[in-house]
Amino acid sequence: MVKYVIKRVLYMLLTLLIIITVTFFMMHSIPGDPLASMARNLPEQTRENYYAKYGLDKPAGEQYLIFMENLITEGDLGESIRYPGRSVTDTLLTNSRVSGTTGGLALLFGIAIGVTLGIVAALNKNKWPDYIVMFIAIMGITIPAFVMAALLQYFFTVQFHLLPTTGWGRPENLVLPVIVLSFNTIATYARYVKSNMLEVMNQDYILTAEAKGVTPFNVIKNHVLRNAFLPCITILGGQIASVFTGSFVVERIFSIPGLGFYYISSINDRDYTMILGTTVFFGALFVVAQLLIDIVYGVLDPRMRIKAKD
Amino acid sequence: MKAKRLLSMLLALSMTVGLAACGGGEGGGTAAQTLTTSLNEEPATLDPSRCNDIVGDTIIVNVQEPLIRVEQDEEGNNVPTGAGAESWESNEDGSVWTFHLRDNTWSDGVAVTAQDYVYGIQRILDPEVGSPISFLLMDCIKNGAAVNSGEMPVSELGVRAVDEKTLEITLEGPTPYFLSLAYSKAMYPARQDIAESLGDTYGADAEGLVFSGPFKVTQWVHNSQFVLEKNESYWDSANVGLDSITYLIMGDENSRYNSFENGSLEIVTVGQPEWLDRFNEKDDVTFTEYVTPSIRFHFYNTQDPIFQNENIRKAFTLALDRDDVVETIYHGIMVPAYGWVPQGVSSGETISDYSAEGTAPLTALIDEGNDPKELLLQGMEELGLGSDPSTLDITFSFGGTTQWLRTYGEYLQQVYQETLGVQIQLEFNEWGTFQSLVNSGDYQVGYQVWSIDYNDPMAMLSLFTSNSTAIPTGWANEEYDSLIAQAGVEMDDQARLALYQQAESILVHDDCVVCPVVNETVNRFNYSYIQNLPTNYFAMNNGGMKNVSIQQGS
Repeated sequence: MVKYVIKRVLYMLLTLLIIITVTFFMMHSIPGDPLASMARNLPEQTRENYYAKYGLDKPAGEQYLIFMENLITEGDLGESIRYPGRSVTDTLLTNSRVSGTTGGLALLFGIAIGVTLGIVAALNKNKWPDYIVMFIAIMGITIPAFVMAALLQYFFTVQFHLLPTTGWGRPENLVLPVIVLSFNTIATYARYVKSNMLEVMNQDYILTAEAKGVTPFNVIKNHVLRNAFLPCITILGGQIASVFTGSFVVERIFSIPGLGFYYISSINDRDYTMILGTTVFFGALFVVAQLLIDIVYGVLDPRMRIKAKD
Repeated sequence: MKAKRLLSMLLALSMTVGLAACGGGEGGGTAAQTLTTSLNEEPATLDPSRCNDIVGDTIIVNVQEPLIRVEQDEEGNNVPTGAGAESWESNEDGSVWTFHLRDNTWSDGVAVTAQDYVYGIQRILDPEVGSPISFLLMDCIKNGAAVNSGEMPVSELGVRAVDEKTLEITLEGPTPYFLSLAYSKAMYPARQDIAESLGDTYGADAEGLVFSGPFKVTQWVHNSQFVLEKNESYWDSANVGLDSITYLIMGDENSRYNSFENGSLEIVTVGQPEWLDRFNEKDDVTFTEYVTPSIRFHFYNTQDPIFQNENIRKAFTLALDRDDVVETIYHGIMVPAYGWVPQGVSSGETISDYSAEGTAPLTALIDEGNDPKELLLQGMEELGLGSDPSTLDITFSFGGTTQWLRTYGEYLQQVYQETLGVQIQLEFNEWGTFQSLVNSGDYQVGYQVWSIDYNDPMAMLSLFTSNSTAIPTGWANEEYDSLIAQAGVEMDDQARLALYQQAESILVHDDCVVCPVVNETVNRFNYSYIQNLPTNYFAMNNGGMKNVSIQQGS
């Protein structure tokens, strides 16, 4: 197990290195530069000074080495070019906390509701609770978040004055964004849990358990659910990473100072340091989450441990 | 039935809460002097020398004291009023200006001195700072260009503190529009000790900054909100109406409308006709409409094999019916533009709106009555391109990929097809790519928006002199250059006006390098208990919220 984890960590670092390198050279290859839209009409000398300030006057290869050196020796991602004086690392840490709060709550809420609905649907296959759950699931997947957000915002804040329209910092600010963000999770988990449960319920060992006289409740609890949940953990990995990076659309509509904004704006602004920072951050979260999921898998599923030994 | 009852209970509850909230305000008789409004995006910095966005200017004008502030008289006319400076005078030819400063105090109790203004101006031209607005002062203040290019030390700049309270600015020569620069974003004081101790992070956060204006920033949560509170150490603090202003940073248009509708925002600007109608029906709100000095225009690459011909450029300019553009594309929210200088720009003390003087150059061109299609055919003949417009290969470039731009592009396709018989191609790139294509001359005709930098036609007309790189059309005209150079030193308002008009006529009418389409407008609603909100662009942006207050008893 330890050997397996070490091997995975090394692969992880290699993946990150590749992500950084590819992003770095790709973003330098797109036309436009961070000053083009901001600093029009600058005399050549000032432009050069400005470039020197951010190290943009050097060849791309050299900039890459400087960036890597700062990252490895000091963990420093540099200073934003679009927002003078702001550290990229600080921006990532501050804003990901905000996104993490909304996204985390939405994920917990979404899983709780989604799994419950999935179980209800599976146990009532082809009966009306099943149809209702699947209707909700289809709505949750097909209605885009911005439509849902706009509708909820209009009804709850303009028509009924129940909640604040936008903002951050008070518990009531969280209600609408969490509902909107959780809808997709609810839909995904409801469908996933339902189909997995139905698959497991057709397995021979369930028949065996029933034949041995295990009560229906215990069959579901000890045999069906445990096996049905395992595949759900796989999709959790990808979702954990996006919890901290936030949603551009939902955060914009509810004016939440999360990280989602920077993923879009940094590219439009050619804010090189911020592009790299946000990409590295997402990449790191993603690979770490994958690793954790794999380890948890091993703990939960004995079959995986046996395979790993082979 | 049950659900209905629950809903009505919830409604009743929310109304009770709402009424209770209102009650507090009415009973007291004195309204809280607080205001909540919004910014459309996060400002880059609060350092005036590195700020190049309008949202940053909006905050800075309220928290720092420029030499001169724009205030409105009772008729709503703009009056440049002494702010940081109590009075000022120039020498005879207008090349040396002396400002006598007031006794003002920074929010940390230190006196504001002439040296602070010197440092503020130096920062804009200091190459180490790399200010994006250096072009405003570069050619105007003595040695500005040399300092900015690093050839001379900052100390050689023509700005000095004669004593604690006297600021002397020496210009390269007479500059008629210098006073409008003095109330623009370029003339704020800055504290050297603070800027040096904060280094690069100066302006990145509210912490550690000191303020010289009517308000001070007490909170800046990035991408969320600003809280401004009255600055008690400000010289005119007794006449500042509001105790606090909250600026919510709201990127989403509909969220702003919803927030205004339910009262959580008290001022909103509207760009959608349906919301305009809706707010017009609201009782207790005041509507203000004003033109902003910004222009949406097309520009031609005069080095292009097709658009090198001025008749073809004229054909494309005339093919567009600006009234129809306003109706069809903007639903009546913008105003048609017939000159390069936007509406509402003043010049000197006697010309309050340049665009209202004489005949606009594009109006003159339209009045000549030439048929656009004939002009096109004539131009094609001159270039030896035959007589079939449908064979022309023309691409229109846009610096954005939004749905709105695509709609506009399709509208242009239809207009040019109908009036000229030309089938144009559309090319959408995001801004950085668009700009790099335009800068390298790799385009035929493009669309762009330009907002004026200071209140004088010079700010627009100087963009097309042959040494300017602002809008790379590849066009150079000696007569134009010489007219602009003459206007730049002409201190007599009427004589300068004539020079500006001749130059603008060459640009839009004779050579037809740029095609004005519309001037932008602001359609603003505010709750009527807000008093003394500025009612035009320059008063809003160079005056700020200093005189705004909340009506008593509301």
